[in-house]
Amino acid sequence: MDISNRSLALILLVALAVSLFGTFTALNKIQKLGITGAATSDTGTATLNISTTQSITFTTNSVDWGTGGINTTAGYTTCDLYTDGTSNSAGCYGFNTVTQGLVIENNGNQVITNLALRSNVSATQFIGTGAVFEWKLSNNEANSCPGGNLSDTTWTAVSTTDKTICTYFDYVDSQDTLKVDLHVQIPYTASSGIRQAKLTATILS
Amino acid sequence: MQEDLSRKTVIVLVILVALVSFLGTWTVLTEVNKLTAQQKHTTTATVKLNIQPPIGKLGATQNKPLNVQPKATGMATFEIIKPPQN
Repeated sequence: MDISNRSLALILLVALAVSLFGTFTALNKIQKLGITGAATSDTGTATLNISTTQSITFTTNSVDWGTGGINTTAGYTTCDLYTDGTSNSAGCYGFNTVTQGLVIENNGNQVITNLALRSNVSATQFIGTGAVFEWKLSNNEANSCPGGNLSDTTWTAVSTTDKTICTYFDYVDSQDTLKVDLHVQIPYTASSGIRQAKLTATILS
Repeated sequence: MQEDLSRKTVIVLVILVALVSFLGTWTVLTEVNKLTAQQKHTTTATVKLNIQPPIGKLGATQNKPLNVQPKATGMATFEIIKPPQN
């Protein structure tokens, strides 16, 4: 039996409606960011399936000491720059005073058990022979990485390979940020020019 | 009895359904990709400074020439004259 064109049109309109409904439903669920699969029945049971997400971001992602150098007039041979509130050393001239270190946030919804940090350059590669380039980790919000889970809590030379810095990085909004302070020591022998280093934080597990 | 729809109308509807289905799929995939992109497993930050040459002379490590008068060198000749003897 042949189907009439009218019947075919009716089927196509139904297909069109189903397609639109499917698209809007999918978009609606995606917008809920991770909450999927809500279901109800006549017994009043609701099921929620919350997917886990691991994600990090540098919420403060730049340190710029500007332009300056070493004042050797008084016999200084080095200039020390910090981000932890320590003043630039007396041997410095011109550089900005930076009082805010880098900040990493766990913006996912799962504890990160292995957070690693690395620099793309060593002190020598960054500044030159005799230079110092160090980081120091701390909880930007209390208990973000509690107890002994946080390492490099004193000035430590940067690592150019992934180094575990936290083994319990919490995701709760009030305690999910770590601070990375930096210290650079420039010797008077360093050649002049613009220097840039890149720090990368990675979730290893 | 109602007149059946033309073949042209059916074809238009088929094209419309295909188009809507394609656009819907594309939109959903785009949104899913955005969602995936928001989940970052690595993040980067930059550290910058611009080093200028040192100012001033470093310490007292330079040689400073002293203004020293050359010593007088030469020869003095003395002639001892014996007094006349009586």
